[in-house]
Amino acid sequence: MMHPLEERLDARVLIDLALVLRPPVEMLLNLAVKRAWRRSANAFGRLGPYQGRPYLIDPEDLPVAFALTLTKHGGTVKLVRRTPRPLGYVAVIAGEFVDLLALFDGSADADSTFFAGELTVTGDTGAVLALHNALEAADLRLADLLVPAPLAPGLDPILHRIVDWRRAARRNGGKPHGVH
Amino acid sequence: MGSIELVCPAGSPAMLEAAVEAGADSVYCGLRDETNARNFPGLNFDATELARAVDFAHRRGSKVLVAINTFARAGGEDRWRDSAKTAIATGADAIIAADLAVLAHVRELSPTMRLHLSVQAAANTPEAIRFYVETFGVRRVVVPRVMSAPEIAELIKESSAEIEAFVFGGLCVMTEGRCALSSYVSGQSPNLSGVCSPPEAVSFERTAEGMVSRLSGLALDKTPTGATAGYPTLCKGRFAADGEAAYLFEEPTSLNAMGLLARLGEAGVTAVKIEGRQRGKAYVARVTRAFRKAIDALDRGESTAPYEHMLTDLAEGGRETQGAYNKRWR
Repeated sequence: MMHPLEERLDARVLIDLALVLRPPVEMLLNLAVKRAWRRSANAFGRLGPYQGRPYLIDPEDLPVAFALTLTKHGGTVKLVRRTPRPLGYVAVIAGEFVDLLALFDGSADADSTFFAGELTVTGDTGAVLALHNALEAADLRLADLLVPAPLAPGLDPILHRIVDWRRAARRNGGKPHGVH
Repeated sequence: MGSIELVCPAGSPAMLEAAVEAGADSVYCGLRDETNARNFPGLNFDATELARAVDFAHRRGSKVLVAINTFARAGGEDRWRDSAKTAIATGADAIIAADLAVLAHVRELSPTMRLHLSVQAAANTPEAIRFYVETFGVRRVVVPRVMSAPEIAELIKESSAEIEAFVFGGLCVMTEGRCALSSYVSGQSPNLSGVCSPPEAVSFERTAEGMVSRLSGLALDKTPTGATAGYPTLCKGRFAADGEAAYLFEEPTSLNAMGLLARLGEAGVTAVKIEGRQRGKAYVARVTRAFRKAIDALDRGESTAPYEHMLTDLAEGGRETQGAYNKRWR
C-alpha cells in the first residue's frame, strides 16, 4: 500500500506533468471549441446571460480541471489546478472523465447521470442547464474533443465504444458487459 | 407510421433529429420564450431553427407540432401572437394550445392550421372536447395524466376529436393547467412563465449522508447516498406529518405505460406522447427507439413485454409507475 505522503507526491508529479503539457492540450481543446462554434454558430448563444461566465469542468480522476468559457462568438478552455474551494465560476461540474465526455457529446442522459449520483453540480443550476442545452445544440462528437480534426470522423466510433465500455464496466462493478 | 402515432419531444434541433432518426412519427417543440411550457435556459427553437427542423422532419416523413401551450399574459399578448405567426409561417403541421385566446387567434390567422388541445387545458369530458371542436375546430385532444385507462376508453366513445395520451416521462399530480405550487416558492409557474421549479431557484447539496435538494432555499428532499434522487418540485417534496417524513402528494417516479399500449390502442387512442423536451438527445433517442419497437411489435400481433424494462434507468428517482391509468382510488 502506498504511504499517504508518497500518494501526495505522486499526485503532485501528475499535476505538474499535466500543466507542462498545458499549451498543446489547450490548443487542441480550443480548436475543438472553434470547430463546434463554426458548425453550429447559434448553439453557444443559447447560454444567454451565462455567456462569458466561466464554468469549471472537473474530471475527478484526472490530475487537472478545465475552465470553460463560451460566448456566441466562440469560447476558450484552460487547464487549471484543482482547488478545494474553486472561486469565480458560475458553476462547477464534477464527475468521472468518461461521464463528462459522454455528457459533452450528448450520448449520456444528463438527468439520470446526475440523479444517480455520478455527477456533482455546484453553483447556479440554471447555468448548468443552459450549458447542457448549448452543448446539445452544438452536436459535439467525442472525437471533436479528443483528437485533431482530420482524425475525428474515423476515430469517433472507436472512442464511443471505449467510453461506453468504461461506463458500463463501472455500473457492473468493474466488469464490462458479458464478462463474469 | 404504425397503428398508433408516436409523438416525441424535442428541446433543440439536435434532439429533433435524434427523435426523427429513432422513429418518431411526430415531434413536438416550442419557441424560445414563455409561450411554451418548457421555458428553460438554452432550450427550444428560434424561427430559423424551427423552419429548418420542419423541413428536416418533412423530408423524412415526420410531422412537427409546435407547442404554444402557456396562458397569454395580460399586456404581453404579442408574444403569443408572434409565436402563432411564426409556427404557421414555418409550415408546422399543428399547433398545440390551451388558452382560449391562443386557440381563437390561431384559427383567425389560419382557417386550415391543425389545432391540438394541450394537456394544459385539462379537457376530460365529452362536453369540454365538443366545445373546443365546435368553437375552434380542434382536431386532437391531449388528455390529462390524471385519467384512468377505462375513463379514457369511455371518453373516446363520445369524443369528436382524436385522443393523444402520455405514455412516458415526468408526471404532474395536479389537474393539468391548474397548478401554481411552484410560483408560491419561486415566483414562476408552468402556465404563466412556462417553467415549474425554475433551475435558477434549484440547488443541490451533497453531504456525508446524501443529497439535499432545495427550491428557493427550502429543502424539499434528502436522498441517502447511493439512492437515485429526483428534481425538486413542491408536489414531489418529502414532508413531515404526524412525526413521519413522506411524499404526501406524489412520489418522485416517472410514467411508463408501455405495458398499456395495447389497451390504449384498442380503446381508440390515436397517438401516444413522450414527455421530456428538457432531457436531451440521448434520452429521446432511447425512449423513441423503445416505443417504436413496442408499437411495431403490437402491429405484428406480438407482445410489448421485451421492451417494457429497457428504460428504467431514465426514470425520475429510478422508479416507474403506470400512474393514473391503473388507479383504483377516486
